[in-house]
Amino acid sequence: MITRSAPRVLVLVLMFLAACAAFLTIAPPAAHAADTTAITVIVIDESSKRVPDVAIAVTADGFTEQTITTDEKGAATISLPAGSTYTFTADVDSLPAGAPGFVDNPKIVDVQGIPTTVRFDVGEPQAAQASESAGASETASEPATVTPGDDGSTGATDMGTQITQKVLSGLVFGLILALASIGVSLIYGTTGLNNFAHGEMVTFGGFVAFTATSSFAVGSWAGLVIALILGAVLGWLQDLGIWKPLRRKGVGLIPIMIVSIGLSLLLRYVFAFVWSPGRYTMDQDFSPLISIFGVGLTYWNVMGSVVSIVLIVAVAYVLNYTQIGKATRAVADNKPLAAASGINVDRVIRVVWIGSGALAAIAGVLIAYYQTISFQSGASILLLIFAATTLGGLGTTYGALIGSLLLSLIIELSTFFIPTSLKYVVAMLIMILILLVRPQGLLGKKQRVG
Amino acid sequence: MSSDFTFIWVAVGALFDPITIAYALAALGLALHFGFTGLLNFGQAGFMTIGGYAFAIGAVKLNVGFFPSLLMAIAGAVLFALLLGIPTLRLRADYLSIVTIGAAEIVRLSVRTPEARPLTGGSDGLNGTGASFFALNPIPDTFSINLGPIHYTNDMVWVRLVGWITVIVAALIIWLLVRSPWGRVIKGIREDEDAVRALGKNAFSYKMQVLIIGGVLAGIGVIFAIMPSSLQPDNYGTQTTFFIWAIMLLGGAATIFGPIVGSMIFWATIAITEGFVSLGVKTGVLPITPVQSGQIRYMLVGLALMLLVIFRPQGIFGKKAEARFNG
Amino acid sequence: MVNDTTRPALHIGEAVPGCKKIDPIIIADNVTRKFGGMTAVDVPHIEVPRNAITALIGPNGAGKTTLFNLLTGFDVPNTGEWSFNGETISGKSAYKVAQRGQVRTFQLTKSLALLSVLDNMKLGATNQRGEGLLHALLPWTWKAQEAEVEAKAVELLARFKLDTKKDDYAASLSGGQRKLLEMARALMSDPTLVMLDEPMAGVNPALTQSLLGHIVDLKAQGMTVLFVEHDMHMVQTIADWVIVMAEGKIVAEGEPSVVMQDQAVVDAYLGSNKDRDLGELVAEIKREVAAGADPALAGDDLSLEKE
Repeated sequence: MITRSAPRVLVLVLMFLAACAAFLTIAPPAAHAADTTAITVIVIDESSKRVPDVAIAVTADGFTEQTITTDEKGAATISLPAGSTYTFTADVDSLPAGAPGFVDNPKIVDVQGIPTTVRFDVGEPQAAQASESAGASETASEPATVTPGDDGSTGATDMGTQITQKVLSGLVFGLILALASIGVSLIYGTTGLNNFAHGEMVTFGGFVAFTATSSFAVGSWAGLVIALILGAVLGWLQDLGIWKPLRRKGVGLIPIMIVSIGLSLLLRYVFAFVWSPGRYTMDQDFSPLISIFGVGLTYWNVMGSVVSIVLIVAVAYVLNYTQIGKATRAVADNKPLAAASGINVDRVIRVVWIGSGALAAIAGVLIAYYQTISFQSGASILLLIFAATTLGGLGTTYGALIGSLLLSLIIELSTFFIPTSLKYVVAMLIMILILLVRPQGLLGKKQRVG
Repeated sequence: MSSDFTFIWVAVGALFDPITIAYALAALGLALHFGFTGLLNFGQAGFMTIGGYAFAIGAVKLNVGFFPSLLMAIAGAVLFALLLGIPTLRLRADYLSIVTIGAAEIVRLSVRTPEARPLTGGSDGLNGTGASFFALNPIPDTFSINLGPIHYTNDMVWVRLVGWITVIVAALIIWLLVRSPWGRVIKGIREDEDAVRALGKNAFSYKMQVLIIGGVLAGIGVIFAIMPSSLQPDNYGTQTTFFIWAIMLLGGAATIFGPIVGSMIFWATIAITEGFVSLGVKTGVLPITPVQSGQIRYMLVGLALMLLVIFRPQGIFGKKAEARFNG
Repeated sequence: MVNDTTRPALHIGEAVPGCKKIDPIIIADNVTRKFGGMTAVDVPHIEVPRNAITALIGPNGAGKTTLFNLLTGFDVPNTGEWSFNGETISGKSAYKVAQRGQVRTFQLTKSLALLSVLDNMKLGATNQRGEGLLHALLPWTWKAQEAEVEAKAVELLARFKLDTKKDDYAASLSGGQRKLLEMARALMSDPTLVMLDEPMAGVNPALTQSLLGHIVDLKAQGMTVLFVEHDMHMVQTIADWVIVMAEGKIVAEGEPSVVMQDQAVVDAYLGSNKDRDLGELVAEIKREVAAGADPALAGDDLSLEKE
């Protein structure tokens, strides 16, 4: 049982959210255009020649079907809104007579903020009878022969470009994921709570930045700062209103965890209630800012990574060189000992919640730029956060960083072998594998049993 | 105006609805997991998805008839339990929660993926799974029940009848189990697993048995929900698991009666709340849109979960002394 | 009592660390356990004598509990092999070790709070048919055995003065009563070897007497006892053999009176406290036991004992 003051403060938290929501939604979200990512489709035949005049239909939920046709270089380009999963279906009838069909058709592509290439190979269809992964891996392991194409480009380059794309996507997303994972890890380390409502702090940041930039026309950097501040306030209020009273009353970790699950559901649908259950795209420039090995990165791809790296370095600095950081590590190491040596544990935990809230909000803003923002954005990466922290070692800060980067890279690269729509399965399998062979994670220490 | 209050009848109907049956069985299974054994299963929706699809594929795609399809559902749930349990049941309790919540989502994403469409119907799901079950219906189709605006055909009576008999049989089985020496061991595991191992009991094996039995109940329960309507993958997301948790905690986690009555109260309350909300929206009393009114049930369930755990952890039917959760 | 000259010899040859015993129940070789860079346990050879009370002592962090956890299957060693009753049990799970008659208690009591005291006891009984899933569903297959288990539990509870509490939740017991319950529960399985991890920790002095009596009683009933303890009085009065650990290693072994005088042991751990009030008290209990009196009768009224 906790004190009767708990609901009062809970109401406070809800009022804060309601106030934010009300304030931010005075003006309806402005409509957006030109928020798209360029997707290049190439068609290659069995002798590695580019195939022109192939019609490819592009479909997605809530997206009007479009058809594109490959040019004389066997390529076609289409601009698509990021953040959705698209189905590319090549028309077999548009192939030259006698061609057997496509090895892997249709293709499902998860379009993010990074320009991507989709490759169709002409060959015996590997549809229903062959397994999906078999078809895909055959494509991936196909020898990289030189293509005598007009432009001199080669199959090897295409594969290289695809690998570069996926590695870059993995790094950009992994850094964003790390911001959220570090918060989860810090909260777990200092309180023992697996915070299931962390995803909602991420979503909150994304919505704050979206509304600030679209309805209030503040600059994107100002939006980021506003999200950071409000995210910190949300973290602080949560601790003040919910977690601290529960800790005070000695409520066990498992009931507290269930409370965090309830809070996650509550907040998620408060967001859906306020912002309505759609996907929103941030107003941003999708043209490449820089190019790495032929892969263009947009302004926010680059800035997202820079912001993430700066924040991660800042967290590392705080943990290692400041009073509060050292106190945080002491609390994470041994709470009773830390308390006995005069550290104000409650203050440390409060700071951890504030910091985690701010980091999660920034992660939300960057995800909004990287993909889109919806009320389920945070919930959908919660599993990735947990998988990343498990991989790196639950409760270890650097483990969260390394786990996030590694996990993100692995799931991006896995799409060479498995359908894109199943890439989260890979995250799950990695998590199960880690639990089987090294449950303490890559950087975690083995715990004593007795 | 009186027709606007038909939701009262909807709420009465919800007490015995196939959905209520499905959630009662799933919550009963979860009570065995959490209330009696202390297992933190946050993937009960995953067991429902597996059971539902195994049954539906058997009934619609393979056309093997009702009982073989039922066996497929059970086998699917057992396999899922083994897959989740083997890596996690030897570890600290919260690992199971992370793995189960993730696995349930993976299952949902996998069955709704376009690549799986030939087998699972993708995001559209599968229809007509109840044909072989309704073919077994001995109630003549001239029979029907009319109660106010409630109208039940013979098939609707059949699914409810068999469903509630299943609930009663399941409750009886769980009751026999928890008051046996077997039940004593699992309650011991809930209190302190190491103590039970020190007394020579294979705690891992017991936890696995519990995970399987509770999962199978969810896998069977979902069949009653999908046979009269359809199987939609998005009906079994994480929010479904949270509904089941709310139902179990509402009735009482360490009780047998609680989850069943909890399911009835839960769905009737949802029907009444949504009835009042939509009435409020229609009459302009509530300044919200119909889309927004759809979010209210989730907000209420989230809030209910928090408040139940904090203020009434024993639920409606649990004993107060037994309410203390383990940290 | 300390210098009990009538005690039969337990060891062969000189009483040095790792010395051989005449009738060992546990023989362990080359047991090491490392945590990160720290070696918690490094024991080349150890033997525990049968039908005797052996104390495992040493300063905090000496590796006593870790060794306990290893021997009982609750922790996995980096290296090492050991046998119990002639059967190799290293690498076996904790529950399999317990099934072979080697039961343990814990430093922090693990009474099962929301089970009744009687259910706690019943859980200790082995080979219960009703613990199998299928038999559980058929009550008539286990009811008879259940009645036997219950009778035995009630008898043990009476011995431990807990019979009036049998229908209460274990959560309602005091700390000392929980220690008693845990020991009584361990006896439900008719063990060969009882391993007690700090049985006196956190126990009210009023109950200490009763607990000591019960431990001595175990040996009288033909069981072997190995216990970890800090309290030197207790060790001196009831132990037949003492093994001293420090920094993961066995530094001394021998009869209590001899080990106590070992200057290395005194320096490492024992200090020079020669106060023997409690020791004399316990010696008295032992004489009563030898005379056939119920040791529990010597204890104070348990209900007076407060946490």
